[in-house]
Amino acid sequence: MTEQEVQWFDEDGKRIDGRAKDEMRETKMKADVLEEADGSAMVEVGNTRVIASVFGPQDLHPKHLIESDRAVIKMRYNMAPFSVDDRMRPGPNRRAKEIGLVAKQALTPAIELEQFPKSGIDISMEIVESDGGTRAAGITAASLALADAGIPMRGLVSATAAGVVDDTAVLDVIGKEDKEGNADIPIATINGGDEITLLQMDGDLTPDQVDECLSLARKGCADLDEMQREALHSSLKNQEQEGGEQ
Amino acid sequence: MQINTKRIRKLSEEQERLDGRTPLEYRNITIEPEYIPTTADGSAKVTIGDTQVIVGISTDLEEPFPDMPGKGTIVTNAELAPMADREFESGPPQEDGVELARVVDRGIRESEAVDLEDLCIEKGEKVITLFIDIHILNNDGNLLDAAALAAITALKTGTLPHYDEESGEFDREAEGRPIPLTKTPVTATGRKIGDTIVFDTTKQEEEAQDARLTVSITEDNNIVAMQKGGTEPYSQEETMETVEKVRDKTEEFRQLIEDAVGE
Amino acid sequence: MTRLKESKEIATPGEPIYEGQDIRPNSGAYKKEDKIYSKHFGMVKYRKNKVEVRPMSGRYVPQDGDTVIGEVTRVSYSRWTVDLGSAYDGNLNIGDATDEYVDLDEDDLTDYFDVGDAIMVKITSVSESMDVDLSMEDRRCKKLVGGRVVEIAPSKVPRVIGKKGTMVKQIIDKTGSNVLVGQNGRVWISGGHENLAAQAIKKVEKEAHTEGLTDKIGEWLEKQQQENEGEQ
Repeated sequence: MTEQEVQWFDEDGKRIDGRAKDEMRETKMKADVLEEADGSAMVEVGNTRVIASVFGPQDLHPKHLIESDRAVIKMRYNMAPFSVDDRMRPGPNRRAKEIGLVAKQALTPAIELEQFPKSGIDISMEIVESDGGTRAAGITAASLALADAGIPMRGLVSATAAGVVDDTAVLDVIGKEDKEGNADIPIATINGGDEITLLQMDGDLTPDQVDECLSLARKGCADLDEMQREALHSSLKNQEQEGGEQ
Repeated sequence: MQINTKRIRKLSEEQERLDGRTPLEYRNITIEPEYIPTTADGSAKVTIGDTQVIVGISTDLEEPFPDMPGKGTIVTNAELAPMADREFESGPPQEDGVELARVVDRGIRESEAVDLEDLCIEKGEKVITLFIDIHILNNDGNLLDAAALAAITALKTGTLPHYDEESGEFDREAEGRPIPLTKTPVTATGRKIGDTIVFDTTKQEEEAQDARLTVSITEDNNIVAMQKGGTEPYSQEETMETVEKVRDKTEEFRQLIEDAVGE
Repeated sequence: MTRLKESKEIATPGEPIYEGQDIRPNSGAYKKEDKIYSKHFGMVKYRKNKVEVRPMSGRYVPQDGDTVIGEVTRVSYSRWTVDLGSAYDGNLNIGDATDEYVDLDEDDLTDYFDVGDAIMVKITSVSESMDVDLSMEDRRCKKLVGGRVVEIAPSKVPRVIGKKGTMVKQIIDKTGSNVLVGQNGRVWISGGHENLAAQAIKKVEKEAHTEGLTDKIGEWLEKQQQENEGEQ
């Protein structure tokens, strides 16, 4: 199916899944979802579902990675085999390694690594269900998990992707839009503000389109930032409920 | 901590456990079928106490094995995700992960629960491969039972995608059909701490365990698979004692699966 | 000069908690231009002319003067390495472990503490590069024999101890267990109704941020006792 055959917008300007061009998919977030991990969170954006975990500060292996004056972050991004229609073979792949790296760079500016010299902080993002925007959801979840783990940060990091389909800039690109659209621009910001810590682009756009995408995505990040804080506050209520059941 | 391991061993002499459960008692079990509705062909999430496991089923079209030209294949894989336990490292499957996958697989394979001939598209040429992927999210012990329970629930509620003759491929948009399941093998593991046989161990209890015996049983009460792990030996009496106890347990599990799936 | 968040309110990382130049940020808070922000998901606390944020959770970071529960992981020629449930291990030298005379060539250090032993020990110094020195000098320090250790978030330790020890005392009285609380979140429980004491401690951890907790826990313990007696 070529791009011309897909009707990206209907007469009311709604996208293939019924959203407006500046509308994010339905997003749910929950912190403190795993017991063993020091911090954890689950984020669902439409049909994309990610679980993030944080262990640390703790012993760092291998020893040659140790830094005398700060903690070292190890980041893992992994898609479960059943997270995509055509099973993903388990095991490291180059795409996952790259995403791990840019995700680490997206989160690091916000973290106070100097508080924990000679230690390691292990962050993991598992994609259990994918419909586009997995690295963005992963970063958003990882930031929540870091807060849940009590790691000191100057802010939360949230991420989303904007793109262009049928020459129109849209927010929160769904799998199908990404595959057959013009461009995909994932970004991350700190505290929903103007510091962009993740910026990537695949596509073919005019500078004006890029500018428009950035504006859309920044607004998305600001909305996600609010949701992250609500999720943290909710995690306290969840604990109360569990405690009360005994 | 070792102080806890010592306590657990001491308590086991009186048939007691750290959290006050009886030796046969399981923690709270939840089963959620179709946990991954959009991308997996079958799935389930199981929690036993704080242990959390997801199993997802995927399908693919492949050539059959030369010695079984008319049968589909099952491939079971386990991922001890680093998020589940501070001790789990990233990388190729370790021993424990491989054993976990193979034990879960054995219960399903030996019981012939899945009708493999029903997975055949064209004898000698093309068959359906069922991938059973076990993903551990949180390890507080008894991964074997949780994974086995999730696997059988995923199979029970899963579907095979529609095969399109014309294109020779799956048409995932069209309606599929249920995975052809003829039996429901259920698996439970008994573990020896000293001379006491204990079920549903927590992670701490497993550090105190001497050996374990996993048994898979079908609804006609036949034993289809067993696996002993750990360094201490089992006597014949202990083996049969475990088999008896597993039989009782599997009745409970079948009811739990029915309740979860029936909805 | 505005308190955007009051004491005992919960803040999230990057959230502004104070506006003004007259207060300084303490642990868990930072200053940017004319506002003070939180570094944690945690509870705000004003103290004199400073404001801090205590995280709701987080792994233990060794502090000078803390009494903690550790596990011996290594025995060397003249010292023990002790795991504290932290990124940083502690070091217990023979001279700080006992007043007795020890001949390092003749005597066996494992006679005192062996790998796997749990000990209540005091932190006497933490260097900038996080070298942690320990000592058994304090009268609370000893080898912990029998019983069990439950682990809670270090940030919840004050709550488990309670004002002037009221919470932990209540648990001890109502369960008959001996309870020792380490600042690193490890709690040793021995004797009496161990399991009930463990559950009570976990419950305090879960509901630490709520009001009237001491009474709630007291009532809960009574109820559990009655149920247990009913079963007998």
